[in-house]
Amino acid sequence: MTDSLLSIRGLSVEFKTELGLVRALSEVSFEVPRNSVTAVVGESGSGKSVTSNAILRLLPDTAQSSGEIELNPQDGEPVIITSLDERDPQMQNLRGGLVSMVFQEPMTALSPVHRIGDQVAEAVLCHRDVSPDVAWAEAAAMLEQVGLADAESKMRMFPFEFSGGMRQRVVIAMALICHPQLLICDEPTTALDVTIQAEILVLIKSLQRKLNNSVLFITHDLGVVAQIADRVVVMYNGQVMEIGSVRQVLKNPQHPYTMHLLSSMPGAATDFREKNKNWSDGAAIGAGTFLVEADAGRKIREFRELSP
Amino acid sequence: MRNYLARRLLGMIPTLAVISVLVFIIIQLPEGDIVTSTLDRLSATGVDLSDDRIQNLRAQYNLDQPLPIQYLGWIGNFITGDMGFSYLFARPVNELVWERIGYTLLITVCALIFTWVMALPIGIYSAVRQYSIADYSFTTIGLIGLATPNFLIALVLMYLGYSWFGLSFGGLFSPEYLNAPWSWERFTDMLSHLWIPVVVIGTSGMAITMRLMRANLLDELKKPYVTTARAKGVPPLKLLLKYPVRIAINPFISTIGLLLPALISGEAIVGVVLNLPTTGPLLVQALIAQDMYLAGSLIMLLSMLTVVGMLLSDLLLAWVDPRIRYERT
Repeated sequence: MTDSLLSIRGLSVEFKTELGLVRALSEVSFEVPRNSVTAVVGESGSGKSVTSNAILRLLPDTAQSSGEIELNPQDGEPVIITSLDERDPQMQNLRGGLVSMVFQEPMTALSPVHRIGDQVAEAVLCHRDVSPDVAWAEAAAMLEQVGLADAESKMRMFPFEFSGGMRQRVVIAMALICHPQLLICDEPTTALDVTIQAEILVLIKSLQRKLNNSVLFITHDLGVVAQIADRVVVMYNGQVMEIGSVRQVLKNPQHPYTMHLLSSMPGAATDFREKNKNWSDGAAIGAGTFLVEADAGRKIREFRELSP
Repeated sequence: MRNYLARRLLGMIPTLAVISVLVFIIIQLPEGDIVTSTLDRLSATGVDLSDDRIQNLRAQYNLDQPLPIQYLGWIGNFITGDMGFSYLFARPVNELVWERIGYTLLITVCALIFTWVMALPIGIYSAVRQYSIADYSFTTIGLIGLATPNFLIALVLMYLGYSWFGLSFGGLFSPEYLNAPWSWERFTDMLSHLWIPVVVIGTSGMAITMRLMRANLLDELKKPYVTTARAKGVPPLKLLLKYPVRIAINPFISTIGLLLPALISGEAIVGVVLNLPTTGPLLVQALIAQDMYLAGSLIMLLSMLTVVGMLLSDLLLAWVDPRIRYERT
């Protein structure tokens, strides 16, 4: 047993499709420590979102998964999420209670026909035995906390009257209102414009410090990683490539794919290549062989965990 | 909202005016009129009328006036609540229509409720358990129901009812209650007859309602807000009913207005087969005999019901869906 809040051990996910089984994740293992931000970074299709959805068991019925996900809450028995049944009350308790999630598409993540306040307050009512008035008041307080001015009146509005950034704040409020120990953010800023992106990132980070919870942050953006994360998990093709502290992974990447990913960043890349001329070649060769071998469907190299 | 309502109500006036002209033209389109069809019947029994008497008949029925005058006469009386005189039944149209339109609405509304109560849960189940055996079975049964003409189902039910139970399902009342005044016994007698037309007419809408509900719900189930609600910890059944079903049901509310005329006209053949005291068979008779006041007034009334039904369904939709409500203000 570890002291991490969340441990993923040997998680594999396959999807049944008309073309047969498609493997989305193979043998993914990593830990999410307490009171920190862990970023999972990788390109499209690398299995980041599948991993995060697997934690809350939100994968479609066509998915078959194996492996173990264990949640070790601060004050309570550890739960093996993967062994729970969909209808298990413990599962409902977990979703939105201990672990909650912020999604990529704020424009569609809220029900179009329910009032903002009702949707946020519902999260409270699902997990605690309080009166609707109390839930409503708590929702108002939470919405103020995520920076929605004049929350009381905004709560009577509908999502289509809100901008994307405002909706994402609502989704974050909804996720945090039951004080989850783990907040999963699945590319929460991808659909937003750059200024709003920065605001939302600052918000997530400051709330994490304030509420003392852990954040699992899914992104493809290394700039965001540098800004928000304490630890980084690099994924490619459904496998974990490298795990380390943000400083180590960004400054001193060990895996060829990480080097490749870093050198593909526009802007930062020139500076980065200049400084690490010797890598560029290595990264290029490394990435080259990496891709060839990945095509062959083999596991390239055991990833190395440098700084636990 | 009040502005909107006033605008819609005012907008109904030109719509109904245009409909009334169309109705009148359509009724005039077939060759001949009530006098010629009366003459046909008379000559079939060997009676021939003199030209003078024919002219008199025409004058009596206002048929010697130009068409626009005839139209104005009809619509003018219609607005004041007098729908004219039925030559076929030799009674005022008002009497004929009012006694039937009540039964028509009763059967139509019951059939609509029957359709929804049966079809919506099946549609929801088929969507949630897509491609399951039950989904395929319901689809098959639904398509058979869709492909079978209503009157055939009515005939089969009548035959089975008669040959197995010795029951006669024709009409809405047993013979002894047909002309009796309203009483509790007459009411229960009506209920015991009512279910046959309700089932027969309701079945016709079931298949399409079922399939639409299934398709709508499948679309909604994929939407991210469903995942959000799941991630929030809403229990599965509550989630299904509160979020995707709530939204998938909206299109049905907007079709209530369209369903009314479809059910009423679909009911005509069933009404003839089952000998129901509804407007459908009356309209068919009136059209065959070219009884223009009766036919015209009936079609006009049904059109009005449709227009009002559309308004009602729009108001209902605005009530349940805030996106529509707010676009208007």
